[in-house]
Amino acid sequence: MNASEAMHTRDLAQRLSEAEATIKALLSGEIDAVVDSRTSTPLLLSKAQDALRESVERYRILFENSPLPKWLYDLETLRFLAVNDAAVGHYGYSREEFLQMSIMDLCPPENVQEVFREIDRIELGPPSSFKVWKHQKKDGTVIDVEVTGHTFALEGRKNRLIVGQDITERRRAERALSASEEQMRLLLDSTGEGIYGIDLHGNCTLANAACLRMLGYREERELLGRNLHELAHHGGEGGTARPVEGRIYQSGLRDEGSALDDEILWRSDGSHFPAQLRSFPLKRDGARVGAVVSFLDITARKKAEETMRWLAAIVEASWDAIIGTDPAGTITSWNQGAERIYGYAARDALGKPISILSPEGQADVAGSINARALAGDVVRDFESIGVRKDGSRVDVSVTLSLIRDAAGRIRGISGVSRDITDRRAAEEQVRLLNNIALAAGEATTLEETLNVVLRLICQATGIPLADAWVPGSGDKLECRGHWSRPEDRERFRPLIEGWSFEKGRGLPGRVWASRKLAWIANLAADANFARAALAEKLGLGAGVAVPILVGEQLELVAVIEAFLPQPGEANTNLIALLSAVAAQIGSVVQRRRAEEALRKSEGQLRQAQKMEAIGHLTGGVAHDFNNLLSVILGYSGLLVAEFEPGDPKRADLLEIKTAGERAAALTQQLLAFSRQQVLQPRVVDLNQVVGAMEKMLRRLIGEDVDLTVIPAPAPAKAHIDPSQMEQVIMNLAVNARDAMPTGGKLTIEVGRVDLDEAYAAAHAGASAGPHIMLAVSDTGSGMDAATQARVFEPFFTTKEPGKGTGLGLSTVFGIVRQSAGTIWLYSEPGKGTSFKIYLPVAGPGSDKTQSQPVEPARLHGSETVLLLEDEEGVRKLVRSILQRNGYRVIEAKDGTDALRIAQNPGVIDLLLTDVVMPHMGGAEAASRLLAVRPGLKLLYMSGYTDNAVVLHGVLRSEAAFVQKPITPTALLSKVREVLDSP
Amino acid sequence: MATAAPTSMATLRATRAGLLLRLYIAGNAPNSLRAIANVKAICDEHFATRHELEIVDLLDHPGRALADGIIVTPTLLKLLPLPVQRLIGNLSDRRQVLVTLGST
Repeated sequence: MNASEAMHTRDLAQRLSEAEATIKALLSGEIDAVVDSRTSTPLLLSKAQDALRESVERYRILFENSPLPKWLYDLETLRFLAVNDAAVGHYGYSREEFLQMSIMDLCPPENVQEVFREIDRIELGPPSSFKVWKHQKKDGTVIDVEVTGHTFALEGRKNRLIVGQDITERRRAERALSASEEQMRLLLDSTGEGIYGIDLHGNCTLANAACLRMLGYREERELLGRNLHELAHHGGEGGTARPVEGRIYQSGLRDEGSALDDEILWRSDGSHFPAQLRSFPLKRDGARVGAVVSFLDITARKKAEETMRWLAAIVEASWDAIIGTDPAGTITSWNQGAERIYGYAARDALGKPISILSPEGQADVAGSINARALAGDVVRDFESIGVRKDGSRVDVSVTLSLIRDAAGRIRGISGVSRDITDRRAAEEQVRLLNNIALAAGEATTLEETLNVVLRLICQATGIPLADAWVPGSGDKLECRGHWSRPEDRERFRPLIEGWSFEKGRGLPGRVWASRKLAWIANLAADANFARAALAEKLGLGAGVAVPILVGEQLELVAVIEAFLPQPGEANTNLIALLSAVAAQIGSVVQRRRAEEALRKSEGQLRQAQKMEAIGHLTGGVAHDFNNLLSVILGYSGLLVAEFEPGDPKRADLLEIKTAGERAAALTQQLLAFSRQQVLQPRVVDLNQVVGAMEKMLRRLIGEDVDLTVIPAPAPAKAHIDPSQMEQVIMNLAVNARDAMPTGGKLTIEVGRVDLDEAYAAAHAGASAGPHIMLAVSDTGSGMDAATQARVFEPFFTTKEPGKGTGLGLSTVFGIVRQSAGTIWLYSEPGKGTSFKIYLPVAGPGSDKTQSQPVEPARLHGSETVLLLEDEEGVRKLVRSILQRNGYRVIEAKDGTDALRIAQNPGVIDLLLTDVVMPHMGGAEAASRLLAVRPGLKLLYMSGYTDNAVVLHGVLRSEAAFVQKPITPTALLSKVREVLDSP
Repeated sequence: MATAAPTSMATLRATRAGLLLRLYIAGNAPNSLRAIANVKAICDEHFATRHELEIVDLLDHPGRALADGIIVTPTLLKLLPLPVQRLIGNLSDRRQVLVTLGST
């Protein structure tokens, strides 16, 4: 080492010792200041120390006195280095305990993991942070603590200073607030009302669930901030938004609430509904910040209101009175029907007691009915009398119902009253008419009926006087019935007795002429009322008369009069009553007449049936007779021809023939009567028939009887068999002659008559229309009713035995009937008899010409005749007649036989057949044979022919037939005629 | 470290006398006051007639600290006789002080 080195070393050593000394001095506190090498300023250690001490003290004070718990802990060991009073106080640990603890001990065990993680993060993260931790106090209470911590270095180690704010309470308050807010929201969203809030611009600030639902939105935020007026309020025309001035929520800008009951709100889908809105301003600290609006969908309410209006209208419009009263009987509602029936306007009736409707002088009927309803009685269709405002009475039918509230208490009575005045009147009328009907039914004559009816009318209506007038002799109305109270009878007599009225005169006459009801409002003042002065004197004021008309022709049979004490205009009820009575009497009379006519025609029918039965009987007999007669006449005719005139045998045979002819005539009559006779009707002018007979008739009736024949002015054509008609006239003439043994007058008249429907209805068998009339009238002894009833019966005779067959009129009857005519008998004992025969006029039809008589030369022939007749005797006779006159005859005894013969070869020129045969009739046989032999000619034989065959069958007027009993001449000439015809 | 050369009459006298001392202090800091008291006592006792004592208050003359190479107070510098010697502290250890002052 050199000198410098040594000095250097000495320097160093010195320096070292100086340094040591410095440090020692520092440490021992002998140093006051240290020079700052940068600024060369001494820094007083004491000051620094003081400052430091002061600052430490300050921080210590802050630390200690902080109201919040504070800890300082070592970030590595996590142990507390310092803890303040607040921590001690709040957590329950002492300072000494704390200083033994680490930060982990503050945490509840379950949170320790998390703390560890957090600590790591703290080391890496920013120096300051805060977080909410759960801490556990010494007593175990777990609290929420908001920890703010700051990490810094101290004396070379990382420390963390933490401040812990116990926010448990705050949290609880927050939760409570949140819960409370939630509850508020829940309330808000649970209301049925839609609620929304708006700010001053009208934009939505809140909308509850109901509001969203009603307006068709899902979430609140769809509405928040949007202008609700544009969105939902379109109360104007055509769905446009209402003008600003009308907007309900302008109340938010005004300082008042408002209410709208007829707003229309529009949904998100464009549909709308009626709503009731209430709006209130929202204020905060006295300043308006917006409005809150609540609304309800009043669709249902509007419908209910509508229904209520309807119900009210229905009640109001009801024709019946609907009156509501409270339990005390005060009128609470009064509809139009009540106004109409009782005459009180609603404002006059409401509030009055129900007793105003009860007639005076009687117990309060209306009130007592109410009381009964309240007591639980059923009051239904209870008939009572009410009184109107003007005092008049009205018959009503009342039905009451109790009105109860929801709890079942009686709140009032609902009453329906129906005006039954008219019904009552109608019932009275019906009762009266019933009585009249009964009485009329028992009475037998019109007069009796009228008297009973008058009495009933007066008794039922209180009319003082009623009378009835009937057309009498001389074409005047005479009084046939009257009624008044016994005490008035004498008084009213002059009004009735001694009066008669022509048509048009007086009240009854007036009605007779007009056939209409007449009402005189003031008898005394009526110029046409003949009894005016009388009426006035007797204290009668008004009068009415009704006609009684019968049948379709409205024949006036009577006039009923009624008089009222007071003059007055037409009383519709009375008029209706009288008209009904008149109609009833009219129908009673009509019925009687109809019954009478029915009885008569029944009698006639019975008679006709009887005759027909008898006819059938006699017809049967006559047929057999006819056949027998055919034999007698036939053979006798033949035999007569074989003897010369002068031969006594011839005379004897002639006797036989004559007798047979007479017998034949008799059977003709029988058959004619039995309507079994075949007529050969032709269109014949009756004038001619009668005219031709006149001479014969005069001889027939003798000189004592004066005959007058009056033909019809024009040809009287009818469809008749002229010989039959001659028989008729003859029979009638004979009868007439016999009725006038000492002479008299006989008139035969032909005329043309139109029978009307009435006649046809009254006379069985007649038809309406134009008829030819043949009347045979005499002035003979006439017939009484008993005789008249039996006169057409066969074998009925008034003559002595042997003087009459009793068949004459029966024959007439039969012939007339078969000619589609009718015969009527009018007779008065001691006066005479008239028979009238009506025959239908023959239309302009073909007039069959009379056949010419046949010359004898035309009786022979040589043709072949197929004879079909079941009756052996007749068949033999006919065959004999034909054969004797040169014809060839093939016999057949029935249709089958004939058919068989016809089918064989061989000539047959004519089929001569009986009409009525068993198994197969002549018509059928003829048609069958015609089928086989088309050119076959036909001739029928008949004496016994059914009506039906004549009318419908083969025997049309063109069909050729020969009558039975068979006379050879008739037969032969007819055969010839048929064979000669084309 | 610069060596302080005698600059004032006092120091001249000290150089003739014998001991030149400079005491750096910081105001009325306790150790500085004690140091003053102690050095004065020592000088009075042992070096009564032949010492010069300069007291420099670094608070008044902060620049002197660095210029004179002083880092702490109190610091006593023995300027004369050489070698220069430094004493740190309040100089309450008399023996140590005497040694340092009397040393060669």
